[in-house]
Amino acid sequence: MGAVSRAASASPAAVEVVSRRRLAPGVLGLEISRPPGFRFLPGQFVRLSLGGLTRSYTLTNAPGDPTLTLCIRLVAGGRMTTRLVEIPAGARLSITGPHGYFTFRASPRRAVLASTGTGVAPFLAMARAGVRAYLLLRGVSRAGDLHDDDLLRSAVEIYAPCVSRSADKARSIPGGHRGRVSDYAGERLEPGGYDFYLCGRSEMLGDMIRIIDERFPESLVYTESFF
Amino acid sequence: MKIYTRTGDGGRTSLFSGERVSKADPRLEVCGEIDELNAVLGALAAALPATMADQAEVVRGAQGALFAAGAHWATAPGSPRAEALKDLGGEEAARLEAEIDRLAASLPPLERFILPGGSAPGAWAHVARTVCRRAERRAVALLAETADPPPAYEQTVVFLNRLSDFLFVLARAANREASAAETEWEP
Ligand SMILES: Cc1cc2nc3c(=O)[nH]c(=O)nc-3n(C[C@H](O)[C@H](O)[C@H](O)COP(=O)(O)OP(=O)(O)OC[C@H]3O[C@@H](n4cnc5c(N)ncnc54)[C@H](O)[C@@H]3O)c2cc1C
Repeated sequence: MGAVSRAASASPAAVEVVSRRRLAPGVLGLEISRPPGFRFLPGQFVRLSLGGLTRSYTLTNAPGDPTLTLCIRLVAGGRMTTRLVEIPAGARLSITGPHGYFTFRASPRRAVLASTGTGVAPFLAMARAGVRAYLLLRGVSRAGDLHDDDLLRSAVEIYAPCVSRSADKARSIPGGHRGRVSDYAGERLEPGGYDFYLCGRSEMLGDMIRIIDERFPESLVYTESFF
Repeated sequence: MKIYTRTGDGGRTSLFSGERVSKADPRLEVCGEIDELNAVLGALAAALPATMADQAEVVRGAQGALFAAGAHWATAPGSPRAEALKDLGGEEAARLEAEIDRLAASLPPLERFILPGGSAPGAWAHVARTVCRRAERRAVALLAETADPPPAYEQTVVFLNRLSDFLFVLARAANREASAAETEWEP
């Protein structure tokens, strides 16, 4: 539904890499300059272009921050991410946007956020904007992938990192669970109607939606599929 | 990205506003009609000759407008999500009116019914017109059933009505361009 973006600028804006750092193994934190007049809502993404390639990345900074930040999973053999991982400060890129509708809406129901990998990006932006949710199911492969833990922990009543590999370490994280986010939703989440915000791998979205249809049919479901 | 998520296997799907609904929901019926119309318009635009590039552009503009309209019908009335959607306004319908007037001025007046057909682009325009009328009927039916409908519902109905008129004159113009004679109906 890209055709209906409100206030999205279709014309590209030139931006510069301000800094690049490692957030976790294989996860890149990229800070870019903020084009004049650029406004967005937490949960929206930009389309970033470099050398003829364009990919979508979700903003993770708060709406009022002076620069824009992204958190990017390095994909093995990925055409864009293998370039971004070594991009120097000062390099020029272009972006369009903001795009998308994966934004938080206050509601009388409790909000359940669920992510896999860098699908946590919109929830970082929401947390920095002061959004408070009931539960975050944060799926990662390894405990070492859990960057920005404190920020997210402070934004939800229940922070539930779900570690699908390296089982022992999952237990050493406060609130950590072994397994997938959908296992948690299927087994531990109490019955009721929730607002679900699902972001990341399409398989997770599918697994969650099947559980929601079965166990939480009164809920609302918002999704952002990364791949 | 995997195209199949299997999440629709149970006959349910998500509205833009987050509700999980049956695929038989009348809102999805309207969305499906709009989607089908959009696809037929794509075939029409592809079939139009290079000499009718301006009209192909109008058709593509209508495709964009239908996309925006579909998002409104996929949103539960009153949902805060509706605020995120582009207002439909009346601009697209006005654009079609101007184009109808322009095309109609170059065509001989119609005195009898013509059979839908002629050249390939003309025939596509007729197919699109009939699909458009069906979309309009579904939209009108749901509009009538909806208490306190959002303005986009009515704007869609107006737009679809204008679009089918446009498609009718476009069919005639395309047939004229292709020197395909119009077959009048002999009762
Ligand atoms: C709306 C939207 C927002 C997005 N936001 C983010 C974001 O904030 N952070 C982010 O890291 N990615 C995000 N993505 C994914 C991103 O756009 C790219 O697809 C990803 O960076 C891979 O690009 P690439 O050119 O390196 O890989 P390509 O050469 O295009 O290869 C793509 C391959 O990588 C796999 N892949 C894609 N994304 C991932 C991923 N995140 N983890 C593991 N495998 C993946 C795909 O299955 C595919 O096989 C988003 C995608 C969308 C549609």
